[in-house]
Amino acid sequence: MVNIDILAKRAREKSSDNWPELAYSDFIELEQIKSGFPGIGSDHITIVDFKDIKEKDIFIYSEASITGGDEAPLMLMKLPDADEYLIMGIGKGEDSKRDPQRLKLRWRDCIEKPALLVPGVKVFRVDVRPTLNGGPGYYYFFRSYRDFRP
Amino acid sequence: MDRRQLKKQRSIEKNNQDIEKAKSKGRFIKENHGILPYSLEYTKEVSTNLKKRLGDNPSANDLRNFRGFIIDLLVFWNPEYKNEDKDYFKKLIEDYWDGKY
Repeated sequence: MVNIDILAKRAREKSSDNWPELAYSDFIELEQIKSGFPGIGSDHITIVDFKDIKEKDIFIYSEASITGGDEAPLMLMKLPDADEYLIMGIGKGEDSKRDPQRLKLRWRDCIEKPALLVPGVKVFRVDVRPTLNGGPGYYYFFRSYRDFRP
Repeated sequence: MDRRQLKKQRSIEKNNQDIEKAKSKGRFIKENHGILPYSLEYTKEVSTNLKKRLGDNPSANDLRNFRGFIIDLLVFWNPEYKNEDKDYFKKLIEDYWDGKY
């Protein structure tokens, strides 16, 4: 679960001086990421370090939050026994307009580990596993589009 | 105007009446700000009232009750409102996190 308290405490760990402003910018970033994954709410994700991601874990990785660019966030699943990742969904981002090569990434593709995804990077782990009968996150995993790039 | 629009208008009017009624009784109404910072008036009102309520030496119980309110206020603080209350609330909540209460 991610809420304002958690964002504020994390921001204070990073910077003791202007943590309210940092927490607000983190909150805006989180809302932007969430808008590309409809049905995934703040209750369904947890902020973790990339090194804590295990096999078969699903997580959202936003390159834009590291580079400050316009890259679309990716929902990835770490595959067992390989350093490969399965694309479970693609969020909103303008990068495919700028670089058509990026459009080659598709839902259910297997990719190698992105270069910037190193231990220490913050990712959002998706904790929900809905079934065909419903459950939290059902809309995204069974009803929604998976690619929200323009 | 069709029935649906009339119903919507009536519910908006009723909501506004309820808000004014609650305000006249001195009750506090939370602002619907979405993802934007709080408005200038709301920031002013909440910070003044909270400071008055907490006083100079707030108890641990008060801080436990109001900590969510204070954190929200600090994070959604309107940048146009320059006041030393922000530092006061910041210090309060940092002391609470550090276990000084």
